[in-house]
Amino acid sequence: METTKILIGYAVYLPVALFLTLYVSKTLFKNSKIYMLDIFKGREEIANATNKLFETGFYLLNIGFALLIMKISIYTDSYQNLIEALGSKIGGFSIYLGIMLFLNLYFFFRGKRKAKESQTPAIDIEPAYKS
Amino acid sequence: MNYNLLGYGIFIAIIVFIIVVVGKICYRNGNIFVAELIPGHLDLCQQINKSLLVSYYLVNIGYCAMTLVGWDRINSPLQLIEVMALKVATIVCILSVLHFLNIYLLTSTIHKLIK
Repeated sequence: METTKILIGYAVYLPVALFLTLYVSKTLFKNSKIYMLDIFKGREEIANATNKLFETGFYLLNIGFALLIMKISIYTDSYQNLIEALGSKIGGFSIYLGIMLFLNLYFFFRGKRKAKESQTPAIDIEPAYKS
Repeated sequence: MNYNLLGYGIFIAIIVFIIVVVGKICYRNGNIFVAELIPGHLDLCQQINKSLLVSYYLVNIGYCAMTLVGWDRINSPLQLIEVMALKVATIVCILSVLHFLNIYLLTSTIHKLIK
């Protein structure tokens, strides 16, 4: 009897985690293309390739983590315990996803800043050279 | 019914699928980075990329086959799902760490190349 309740828990947890991962990475990487173009100085094909590779890595990391924390263990066999366990699992997973999202955003901003830093000397020097 | 044998079959199927899909994506998007290495020799760079893909398959699938040793005895379908999730998750996490390392190396190299 306990077996079936845990199986119900897995059947709820896995689609929710997969859907969350899919949704978050779709939103993130639809908007990240602009940053990539900026980082790679307008080379569109390199920007697209890097964006796609980042997206794959994001999927792998998050789905791997979701599967890693999947195991549910409840002691008494009741729906209340099942829902509590599911709540802590899904909540923990979405907090993790949020942290990952902000980390990725930080990387994008850092890359943009670095690209700008390496560009500014060239722009500064050029007018002085011309005059 | 021996659940261990069933588990090995499903595990290898899932892992080979994931590795092949990820390898195809990396191959398609990695062509452009490899092409920057030797400018003007596109076909040579594609051959390099192809051999990189094959070695990636060999290393990863070989490692997954090696991890088949040392599974616990599986007694119920519930345990099968749990063990499977844990094993697949470990492999996927290792793969993602390697993948991010690769992206880091590629982007730092490409910044030097296109400067």
